[in-house]
Amino acid sequence: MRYGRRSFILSFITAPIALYIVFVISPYVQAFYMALTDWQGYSPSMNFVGAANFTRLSHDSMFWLALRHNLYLVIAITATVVALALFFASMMNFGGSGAGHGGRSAIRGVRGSRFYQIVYFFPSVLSVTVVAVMWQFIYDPKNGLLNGFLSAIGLDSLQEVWLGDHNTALWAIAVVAIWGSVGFYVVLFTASMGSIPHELYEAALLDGATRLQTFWRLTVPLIWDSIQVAIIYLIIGALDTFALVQVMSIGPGGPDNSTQVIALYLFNNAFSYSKFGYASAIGVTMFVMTLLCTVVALRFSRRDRVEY
Amino acid sequence: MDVYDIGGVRVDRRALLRLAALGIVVPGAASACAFSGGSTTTKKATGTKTAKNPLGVKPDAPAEFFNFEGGYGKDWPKTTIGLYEKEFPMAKVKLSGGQQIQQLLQPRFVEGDPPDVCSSGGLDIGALFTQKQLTPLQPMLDAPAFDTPGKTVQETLAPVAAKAGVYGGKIYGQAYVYVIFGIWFSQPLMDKHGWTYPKTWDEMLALCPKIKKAGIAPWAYQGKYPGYVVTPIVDMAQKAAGAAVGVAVDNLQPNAWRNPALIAAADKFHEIAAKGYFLPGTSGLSHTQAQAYWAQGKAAFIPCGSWLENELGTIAPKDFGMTVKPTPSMAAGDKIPFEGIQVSVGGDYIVPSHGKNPQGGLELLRLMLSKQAAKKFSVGSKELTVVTGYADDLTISTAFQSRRKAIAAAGANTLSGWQYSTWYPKMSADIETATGALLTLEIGADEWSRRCQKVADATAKDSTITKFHR
Repeated sequence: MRYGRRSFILSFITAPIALYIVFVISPYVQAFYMALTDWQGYSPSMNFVGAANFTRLSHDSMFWLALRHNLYLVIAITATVVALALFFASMMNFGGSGAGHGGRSAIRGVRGSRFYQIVYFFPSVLSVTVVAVMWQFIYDPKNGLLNGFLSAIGLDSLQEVWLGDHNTALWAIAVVAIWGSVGFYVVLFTASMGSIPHELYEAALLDGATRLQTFWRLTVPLIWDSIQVAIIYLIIGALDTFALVQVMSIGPGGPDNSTQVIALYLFNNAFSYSKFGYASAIGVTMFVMTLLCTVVALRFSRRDRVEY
Repeated sequence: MDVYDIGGVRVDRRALLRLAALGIVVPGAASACAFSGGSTTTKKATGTKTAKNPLGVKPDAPAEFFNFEGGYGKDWPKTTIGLYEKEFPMAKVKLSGGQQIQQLLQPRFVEGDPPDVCSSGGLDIGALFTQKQLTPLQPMLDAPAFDTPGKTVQETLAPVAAKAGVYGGKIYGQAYVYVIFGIWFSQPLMDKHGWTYPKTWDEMLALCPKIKKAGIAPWAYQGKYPGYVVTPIVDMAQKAAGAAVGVAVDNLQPNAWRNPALIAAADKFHEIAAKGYFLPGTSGLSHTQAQAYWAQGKAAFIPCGSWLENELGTIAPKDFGMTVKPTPSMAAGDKIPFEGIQVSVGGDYIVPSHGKNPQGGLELLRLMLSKQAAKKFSVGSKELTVVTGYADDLTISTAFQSRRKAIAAAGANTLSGWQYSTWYPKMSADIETATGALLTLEIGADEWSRRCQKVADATAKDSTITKFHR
């Protein structure tokens, strides 16, 4: 019986574990080895160089610049997306609440919230490349929607070569990343807000709590697990930024390296400069950094779980 | 077997790799013999050399032609392949190709199964050379030409072709397209306003305000890829101070980028930007966007290579009258006259050494360099090739005519393209970036030259980069 159960379980997990080993673990292990070699990528031969790649990396000013840009993105994207998604989700769940609406349930979202939910989620359905190309047209300095809009409302002085100016390029790309991911987190937060018992809100309303108070004292603590997940996902995503920069930026990575990010630098080292060993070292460093950031984020966002 | 000392434990490379592969078969990486150093010598097809088969191709051995499916399309190698299959009726030639060359070919090189001849756009040929992946092409160049009796292949090619694709003193990359790089404009547009193309920079600066007044931006450039402006800067410097400027840059000589001629040339384009002569917003445009605006008559001049016509396709109006001219001379004392125009040929076609039929690869190149194949290619792509003496009776378009005129006018004064961009891709990318900053007025010409020098010095110091010389 015992044996039978074990083979039953094994039959379920063997295939996924095998796939995981082949497609996740083994590339990682290989990358860790390659990071210690000078592999150029065109022949099977390579020399073991020890930690030389990592020593180089620590003196590589471009790497540090890219890392700084990734950190900017982590902060900007994570903070903005969580804030916006929380705002939208709570408006859609509780935004229309209030006393004195003819006996209907007092806890409800703003009018048309189902519609908004679909609209917000829409960007998540599009592929990143489509999003990037679309925004490239929006940012087009001559015929773009954004500059056109600015001139239509008489703000010609605010027109910019959004992706061509080193002061605006990174932020222009960050806006796209935010636009593209808010919807998903709105849905995530909406789902967890939906599972909060309405009685809690009704009680809070009866006690005379304002909306802001219910938001901070009820909603946020009760969906904290979801917020924590969102923060970690967003950090990992921002550290990993690649496709948007590759498609949208000048160079890519420009102008003047102002949108250089680690993943792009890795890609260029491997595929343009034939330095696969060095690129693997960047990859390994990125892996360790993502791991560290995740652990730190988990530590700092730990709170007592509220049972309800 | 190499043995490494890792923290006191002595491991041989094979053991390390076995550890790395965790017993899992990973395509390419784990073909164990491949990793253990000396690559397997695959059996190569060879035949006997005859007058009709000067390279000794094995008549029934299959071959593969890998084509970069870029601006020239998918089908043009079929002419060459047709010739091959007529010569060797028992052989089957496979035409393969794609756009992501790096991703498609790199695993094949590692596995030891590369195609027999490939167009290499985007591949790092320097790295392929240092890893002994290439066949020297000289035997093919010394063979008799296919349809020019009494001459070798080499003798039928423009002399500049022998300068490209040279690594360690031997040719490994064969040039094909004979690109010239200059400043393009619409002759009818100039005629309509009574303008003539300026031969000196002073004339250029006198003309630009007139163009601007007519409601046209004097200049556009391919903003997202500022490398398009590096070429005219480099050309103007070379015309001012002679070809030695470029040799110094390519050979990574100290202070090569600090040459006053280079700084002066960069300053000219800085001035164009500072005076607002560039199409507004051009720095944010892709090459196709910028070129489209130019073809619509929104800008008068654009720097580009001669692939421009083919790339524009039907965007250009029928009576556009596309014309190319050299960069204006900087001053009266220039060492090379105004007519000097840059001819750049890239060593684009390679014969991998670990392919199954490298002789067939060489033969395919020999046939590709025939007049017949070249003519077909030119008609299809509106491009000249390095093959000489086949295009005299070709009347393809105004652009094609104007480039032939420009080449004839230049005579012996053709400028050669600089090699550092293929030798040192990272340095080239950094110089493009600096040039982008120059054109958006973030830095001045002097700062630009300092930055270029810094990346050149870094390249010279970097022991992991194989150095080349010319």
